[in-house]
Amino acid sequence: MQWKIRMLLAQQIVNGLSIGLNYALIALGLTLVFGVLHVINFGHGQVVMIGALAALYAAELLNLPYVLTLPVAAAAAGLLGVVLHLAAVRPVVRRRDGHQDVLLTTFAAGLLIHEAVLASRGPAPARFDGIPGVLHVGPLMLTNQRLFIIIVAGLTLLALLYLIRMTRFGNELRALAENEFAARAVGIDTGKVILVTFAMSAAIGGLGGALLAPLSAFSPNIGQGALMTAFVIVVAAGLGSVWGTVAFAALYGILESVLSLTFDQGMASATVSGLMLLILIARPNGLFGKA
Amino acid sequence: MKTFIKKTLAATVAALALSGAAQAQDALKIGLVAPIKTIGGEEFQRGADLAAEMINEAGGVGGSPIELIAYDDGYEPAQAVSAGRRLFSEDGVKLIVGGYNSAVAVALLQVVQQNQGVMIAAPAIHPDITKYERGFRTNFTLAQNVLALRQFVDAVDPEARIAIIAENGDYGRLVSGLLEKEFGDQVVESDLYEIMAQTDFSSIATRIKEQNPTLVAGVWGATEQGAAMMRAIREAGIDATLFPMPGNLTPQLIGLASDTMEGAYSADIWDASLQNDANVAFVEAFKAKFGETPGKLSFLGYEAVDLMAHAVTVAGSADDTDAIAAALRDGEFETPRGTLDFVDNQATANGNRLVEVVNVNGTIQAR
Repeated sequence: MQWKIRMLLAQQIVNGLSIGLNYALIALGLTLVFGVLHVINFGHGQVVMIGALAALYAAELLNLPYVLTLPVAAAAAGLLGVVLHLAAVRPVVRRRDGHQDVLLTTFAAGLLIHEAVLASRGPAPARFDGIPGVLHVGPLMLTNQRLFIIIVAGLTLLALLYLIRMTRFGNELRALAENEFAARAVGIDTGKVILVTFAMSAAIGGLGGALLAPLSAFSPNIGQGALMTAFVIVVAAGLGSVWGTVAFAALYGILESVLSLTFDQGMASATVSGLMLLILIARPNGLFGKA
Repeated sequence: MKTFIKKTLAATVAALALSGAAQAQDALKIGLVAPIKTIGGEEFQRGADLAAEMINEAGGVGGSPIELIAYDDGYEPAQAVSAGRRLFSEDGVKLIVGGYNSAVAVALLQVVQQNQGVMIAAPAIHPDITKYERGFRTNFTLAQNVLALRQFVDAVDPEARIAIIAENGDYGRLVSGLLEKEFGDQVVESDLYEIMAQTDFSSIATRIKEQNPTLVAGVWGATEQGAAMMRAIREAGIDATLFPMPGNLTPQLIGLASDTMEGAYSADIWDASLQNDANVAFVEAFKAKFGETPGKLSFLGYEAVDLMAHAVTVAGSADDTDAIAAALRDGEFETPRGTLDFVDNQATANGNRLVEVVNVNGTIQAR
């Protein structure tokens, strides 16, 4: 019996890890933008949706195999990120109260994108097949799509680590996150760094959307739920903390999955949200945020 | 020359305005209030549009073409109330079809009652709807819903170990509660999931697998979540019979969940394979217009507009809503489901028809 419970627990941890890492990719987009510009991009959910939609179209119209639709998703979402920045962030962020205005402008831009997709292709969800098959390891099982999510998320995070720690752009990004005035003073083109960060955040979010869609189906509403989960994760982890976001997203997925062994799904989510409330009371800047 | 062009333009505009006014006067206006930006709402609207189109092609209602005026309720009672007020005060509508969701339907019915209109709340299942003298319901009753599974279990698997998975809302909780009561100890697992917010069903599937069920009954409103759930069940290695509850086994579900649904059963008051004249005409026209087999919600939208048109014909007036309500209450109608009449404003049905998914092309056949 003990063995059976341990296996059940292990199964839920694996399930939770895969969905948690998928959340991490989506949440990273929010936290990277917050890190350099100290604003929340409420249009990010629709960027995630456009990534999934671009991958779906690449598979349907260009007959690309699923793996090759992922770069298309990242490129389309990255491009949208640039447009979002130029249209909804840059014109208002330097104003007085500009940071609050960005919440509204990005939300409005997201709404426009969502309505445009609804108007052009309707609300119907679409089947989107990822990597087929199931992997069995002893009594544990994991669909190949979930395994693929773990691998792609892991590789993306390593690439991001390299970019932030080992490249000139990473140095500039960190300098900007630390102090924008000082970064400008030493000759960093902060406008360019911000634009590239927006594009990169959106590309990672779009990739997250393309990985998430095969777990259920593509739906024009896929970004709304994803944004809410990502927002909760970045706030509880500590806004701007990249590694905190990844760690907390994985923890979030595992915790929700394991708790659902005892509670129904709604109660499991409510329990995780309750824990987050306690975290924010004890640590107002989040679990991994700077005090 | 300029004056001539101006005069011509003015005359054209005036003529267009007059013809528009004449058309508006002639048309039989029917309001449609549903969450039309969702897949279910869109399905409902497609059926309603088709009914209006077919009636208009056949000469309209007493010579008047039907004009459908649609508003989105976004699943929100407040939005539905606002749409209802607009229909009555601005659009001059007295007849409404809709009621995709029970809470929305009840809120909208308050407006219908106050404005002396008539409403057919087709998909909603809450019993309170028929307490309003001007509210009519055409979907199955809760008792029929539970009976559908009871008949299947008794016939196919009397010792079934049943797992229930339902959306965490009024509808899901109501149906899963009734199923638990009906089947008692045979229910080995009962889970709720979050409407629209949940995309990952692997945890629930793992829980269900532990109970080794022989039958999994599903209750959902959002087709995409139902499909994801059914796929997760199979991916977890559960080979139990899948039984989406009445209204849930649709061509769209099969399209999304694909081979997962092969061999699944359900039962309902209507299915596309019914061979009566009205249903054959509806299904063929739907396929010709939309290129696919209609689902239950399209049927309900189609039937609601068709019923309203018949009631207006019997009443002999589009303005006398007392007579239209009486015509619905007292009449007998041939619809795609067969012969229908209303008892205490609730449509009687022919009983449940058991259906099976026979292949992944979406063929659902009566058994």
